[in-house]
Amino acid sequence: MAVWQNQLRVIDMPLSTIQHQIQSLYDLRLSHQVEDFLITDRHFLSNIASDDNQRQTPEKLVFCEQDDELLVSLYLAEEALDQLSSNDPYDHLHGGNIDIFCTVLEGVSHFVYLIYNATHDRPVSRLELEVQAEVDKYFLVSRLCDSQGMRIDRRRLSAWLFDYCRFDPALKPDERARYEFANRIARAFCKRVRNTPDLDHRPDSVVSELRRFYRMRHHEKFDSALGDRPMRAP
Amino acid sequence: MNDYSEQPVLIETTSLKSYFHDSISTILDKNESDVGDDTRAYLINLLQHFSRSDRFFEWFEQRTTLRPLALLYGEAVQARNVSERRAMLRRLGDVALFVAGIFRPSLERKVVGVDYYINMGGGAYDSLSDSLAHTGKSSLNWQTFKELAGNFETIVDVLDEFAESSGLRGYPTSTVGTILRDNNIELKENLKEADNFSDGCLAKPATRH
Repeated sequence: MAVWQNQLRVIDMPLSTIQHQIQSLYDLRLSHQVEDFLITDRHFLSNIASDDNQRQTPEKLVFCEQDDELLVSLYLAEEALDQLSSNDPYDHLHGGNIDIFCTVLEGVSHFVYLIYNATHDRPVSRLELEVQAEVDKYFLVSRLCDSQGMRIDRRRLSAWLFDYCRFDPALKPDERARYEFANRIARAFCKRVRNTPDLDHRPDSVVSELRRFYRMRHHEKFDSALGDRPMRAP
Repeated sequence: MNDYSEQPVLIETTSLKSYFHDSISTILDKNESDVGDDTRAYLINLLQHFSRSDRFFEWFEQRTTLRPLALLYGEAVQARNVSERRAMLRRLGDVALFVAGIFRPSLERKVVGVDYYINMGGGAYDSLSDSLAHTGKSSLNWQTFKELAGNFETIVDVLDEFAESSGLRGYPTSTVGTILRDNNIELKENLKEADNFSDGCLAKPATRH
């Protein structure tokens, strides 16, 4: 695993906490830390990203394979990191920081999912990355609210994340379609977890289900979310 | 309530297909559109095919509905084999073309505008054409889909003109009625629910970059 060289910034914000939370939720062991792969220089991003659509995005995972080596960098906009470090959601999650928290969480989620699959020699599609990031947002926000004693309506959280989100107008049609489809799959999966009675009242079984879903491959994952088969409830 | 009795349109024709043929050909010729015979035939067949609403709409998630283009795209992406993928791409292109052309005024009032349909539909036909060109073993002509992709916007304009001149938009056809029911009314209900969000956390919409 390698990283595009860039001035690495010393950070005082919850990136590592987010990574830890994701790894803990899914029981993942990784030997790479997201901070080591972080870039914040937009010009540097435009130099290394082959994407012809140079949108002003606050978060982007850049990766490619070169000589059997995976090159990875996670770009997060300086302003996003500043907002998060001055308004730490792990101190208090609220309407002023939940959106930027989810944006950064999405980047870290992409990073963790890519690294996990790469270290297991498994290919990953962009659609899978998006689906998993949406599921991560839903469950990490839910757990964070629980830990801070906030009651959050799961259905409303689902609607906020998957039904009423605002898409960047500069997204290309295929990007937007991918996001919309990922939303649909993630919403279906989260709804199934919510609606499986035995799962809903037993946190351990929810975690088991999430870990199984995380390790599923492309089609298996989508079938699990959209299919009719009941989820496993021990 | 609209008074449709003031918009009498009597169409004299031997068949629906010949009506579509004459109307579309007239518009294409008048506009001097550079659209080949096979593509014209495809367009006329498409109109005839979708003249039955049960072919346009699908039974999905326990109701008759028109699936979003994104979902059709998703099915194409995760298709298990080439023929399934082609079928989904064709359906995506056909639906995008039909909706963008026949229901254009309705799209202009929505967040997702006609450009989205043009990009998605044109992209689907283009991918389908590439896929067919590589095998050369299909009853479908890849060049027709290439032409549909390349002229997607022009053909949308032709269908728009056809819908306008045929008086189709003045009538509450079952197709129009179902689209309104499936999109507008449901959308309003959802937005109403969204307005009722009481959690301060979720007051502003999430953004996807």
